[in-house]
Formats: sequence, C-alpha cells, structure tokens
Amino acid sequence: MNIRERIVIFAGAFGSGKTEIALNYALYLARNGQKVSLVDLDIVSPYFRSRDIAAELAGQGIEVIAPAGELAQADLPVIVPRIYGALADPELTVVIDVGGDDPGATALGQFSDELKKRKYAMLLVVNTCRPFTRDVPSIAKMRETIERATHLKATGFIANTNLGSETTSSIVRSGLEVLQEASKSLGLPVVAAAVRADLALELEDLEINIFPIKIILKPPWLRREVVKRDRGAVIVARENQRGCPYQE
Amino acid sequence: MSEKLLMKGNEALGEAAVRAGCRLYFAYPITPQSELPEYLSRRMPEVGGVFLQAESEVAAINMVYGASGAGARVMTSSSSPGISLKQEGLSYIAGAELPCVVVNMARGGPGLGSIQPSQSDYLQATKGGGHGDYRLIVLAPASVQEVVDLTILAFDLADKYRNPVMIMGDGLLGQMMEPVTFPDEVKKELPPKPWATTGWTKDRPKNIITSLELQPERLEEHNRHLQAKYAQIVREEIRWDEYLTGDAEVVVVAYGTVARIARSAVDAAREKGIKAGLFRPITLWPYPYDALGRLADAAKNFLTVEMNCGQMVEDVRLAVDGRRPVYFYGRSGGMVPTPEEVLAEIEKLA
Repeated sequence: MNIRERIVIFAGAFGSGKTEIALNYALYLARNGQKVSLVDLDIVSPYFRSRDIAAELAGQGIEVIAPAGELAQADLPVIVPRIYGALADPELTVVIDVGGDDPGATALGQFSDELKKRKYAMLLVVNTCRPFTRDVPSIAKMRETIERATHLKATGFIANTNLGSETTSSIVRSGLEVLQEASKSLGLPVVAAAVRADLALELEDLEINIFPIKIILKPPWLRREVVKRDRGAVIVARENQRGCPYQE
Repeated sequence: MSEKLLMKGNEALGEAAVRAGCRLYFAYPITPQSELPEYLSRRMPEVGGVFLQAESEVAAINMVYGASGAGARVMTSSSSPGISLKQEGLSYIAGAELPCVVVNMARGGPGLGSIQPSQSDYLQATKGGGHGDYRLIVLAPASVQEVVDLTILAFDLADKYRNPVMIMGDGLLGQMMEPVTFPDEVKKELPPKPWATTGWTKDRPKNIITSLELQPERLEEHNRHLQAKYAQIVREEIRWDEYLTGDAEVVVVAYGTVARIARSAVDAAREKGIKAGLFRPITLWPYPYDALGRLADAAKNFLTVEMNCGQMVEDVRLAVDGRRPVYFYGRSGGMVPTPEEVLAEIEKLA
C-alpha cells in the first residue's frame, strides 16, 4: 500500500478494522526502514486496541503513542500531548488509529488545525459486512458524520469487507463492488483493499491495490495457530508460535 | 436477514433482542457493555421501540419492572458493578413473577474492579444476589452466534415461566467480533399475558402486581408456588454441551469464553495423546448436575477452569459428589487464562 503522505489517519465506522489495518501498515512501514509512530487515539474501545501490544511494537522499532501506565487500561478519553510533537517531526511517519464512528473520531478533531497545516491522508476503512455501512447511503452518512466530527476531509477509502474467520474471496469482491459504487457517487477514491494475506492470491486479478494483512489482535483461543494435518501448515504454525507473531 | 454480518457480542445481543420482539430497553452505560446501549440507541427508534438511558442502574431495573408488569418484552443490561445495583430490583421482579431479560457482560471485581473480562459474578447470578428465595434462569453463551440464539431463547423462557432470565457473558464476549446470522422474521405475536396491568376492564378481576405479602401464610404459599416453578425449570430447561467427553480421563469444565480457551487446550492435549474432554454448562442455573455427574463413571478427574478465584467449582463438586477429585484453575481481576496455561494443568492431571 503506497501512501505518499507522512501522516496517515485510519478512521471509519466502529468495528470496521481500523486498528488491524493501522497495525499492519505501521509494521509494513517499519519493515521498510521507516521511522514510525503509531498513535492510538481510540477513546471508545476498551479491548483489542493498538496499545495492548505496545511492547511488541516497540520491539519492531515502532513508537506507540497512547495513554501510559494505569491510564492505558482506563475507560477514559485520555489524549497525550506527545501527538503534537510527532505530527511536527518531519522525520517521522505518523499512523493514527482513530476510534470508531463520529464519537470516536471526535478526539481527532482537536488536532485538525495542526493537520490542516500539513499533508495528511485520512482513509475511511469500510467493511460492508458491518451493520451500519452495508450500502452506499450508509457509507455516505458515515463519511459525513466523521468529517463533521474531525473537521477534516477524508481523502480516500480502504476496502476491508470481511467476516472474520469466515471471509472468502467472494465476500471481499462483493464488498469492494459496493464500495466502488460509493466511491463513484461520493467522489472519493478507493486507495486499497485490505485482504487477509492467505486470500490475497485469489484476488490478484482485481484492478486495485491489495494490502495483505495479518490479523494481530485475537481472542486467546485463536492465538494458538490452527494446526492442520497438512505438514506445511504445521511447520508454518510452529514457526509463527516460536517467533514474534507480528513478523512476516 | 439470513445474510451474515460481522458483529461484536454486545451489538449482536442488541439485534437479537429486537428480533425477539423486545421494544423497550432501559439501561445505564458501563464498560465493557456500552456497545449494547449504543447499538440499541440507533436501532430502537428504527423499529418504533424505546431506548432510554436511565439516571442509574437502580432506575433502569425498576423501569423494567414497570414495563414488564404492563406485559412488554423488556431488557436491561450492565456489567458487574451495575448488576450489583440491580439486585434489589431483580428480587422484586422475581417475587412479582415478571418476565424480563437482564444482561451481565461481567468485568473484574470486587468493587469497581477493572474493565477487563471476568466470571466473578457466577455465585451472585446463580445463588441469589438479591434477597429472598428466588432463582434467575442464567444462560451463558460462548460465541457471538450463541449470544444471538440464547438471547432469543431468554425472552421465550422469561415469558414461559414469568421469571427474569440473565444472559451471563463477560467483557471478552461483548467486545469480540464474529460472523452471525439472525432469524429472518421478527416475532410479532407475543404470548398472551392475562396477568398484565394493561388497564382495568369490567370483564376480568383487577390485576395487581406486587412482591409485598404481609400475611406469612400467604407468603409461604407464594414461596411454595415459586419453588414448584423452579423445580419445573430444573426438570425442563437444563442445557449443556460436551466435547470429546466420551473417553475422557480428564474432564475440563468451563463456561462462556473460558470454554473456548479450554476447548483449544483440550485439542492441544489430544494432540499429545492425553484423553481430555470438555463439559460446558450453557444454563448456569439450572445447573447440569446429573449430566456432569454421569461423566464421573469414566473420568479420572475433573478440572474446573474459570475467570475467577473459584465459584462454579462448588457446583462441579456437587455434581461429582466426591466420586472423583475436582481441581481448579483460575485467573482473576481481568486476567484471561491462556490455552497454554490450561494445557499445563491438564498435563499435570493426565
């Protein structure tokens, strides 16, 4: 996924996959030698947040900007001042993981003046299998409410249609169709489609940037890789358990 | 809608309530169940229902009392500290025999505790919580799809027995996302409720809903009636699930999300040649004592795994009745046991 802007904001509906995409994008940048700061600006989700794996990300050279210590575990809208410093640092690529819907996106609003001074990409992550972004009018509404809450203009969409573990390439395709329709009617480009890495090969024919991702924040019973009778899969699963789970 | 959606447990529970014909929801926000009021605040107006953020949990449960008394399908929800606040109301509702659904997406305790998941409200849910000889039917889903199925069942059981039904989840179940489907049609025909206070008419005697009974003879009679009803629920409504228990030497007992973790550990144990199985109560009250006790014929021992310091293990001991050793492994305070930890405990017993 090639995004030119130094500041990349992932926003969108609640539960649309912003955090997974932000994590994968930050790791992708770090692997490519960039100096990355990941801002966990999620003030609405109590679980499955970027900050939950701050230590592992630090091990990959990624700075996680989030409430520290006890406050990381509090259901309080804490916003840390370090964000201003990161936005101003021309050496840094800043990935911002915004909370869901307009209430979550409100936290970004206070940085709108700082962001408008600079070039930024604000990408709306859309999963058409989620209850409130299933069609063009609801996607339009999501965009409108988030732009109003943030005082910023979205610059594009990221297609992220999935059904979790039951995602198939045809689900990805049908979601992309809906989003492309929304893209036409709203005049906002679809920058990329985020696709679970194991499905990426089946979708090579799509005329769109595919961003292969690996699901990082999982419930405990899925952290143990599924060991199948397939020997290759067994070896891959063992490798994954041994090494850092976030490395490719 | 037979089409699949990706939803959080909390959201799916809200949609399931709507599908079950619930049009009244009163609650006060608390992490980690706030997605449920958030979802219903959007959804209830769409279906002509009422979402009301009460001024407190105490107010919400008493609004439930009123709405249920008027014959409506009604729900409230909270997480552990908020459920404690609702206990007085629950006792009144059980005493007055009013159907309703109460959701607890539990978090670490005691006190304000943490916002991370926990199962430390098991005893409160299954052994009382409020005062008096009453019982809640307690359903413990382990997946987002089961949240949907059991929520719909909860409304039916509540109406069938004129009794409050609790959905006992935890923060993890509320927050995690899984694919779900919902039944196609909203049930519109609710069961008749001739006892409801729907306005006085001359063709029937006055309906009075109260939990007050000053005459001890009559209160004892009422208690006998309640106990007979609870006995019927015990006979007819026990639900559980078993996984690889047929030849199991180590039977792991766990409910809700912990059963998912335990199942993963059982799979890992089987790969190592250990005969492990999983017994998962779905109804925490009535508890599947007999079904679990039967496994003591073949099993060497039992391992109860909970996200608390040892609560359901008391019921496992009652079920096993001293015939086999019952061990316990738990994490608390919002810490979640891992499959590896559970596997290590199984290996000790194999």
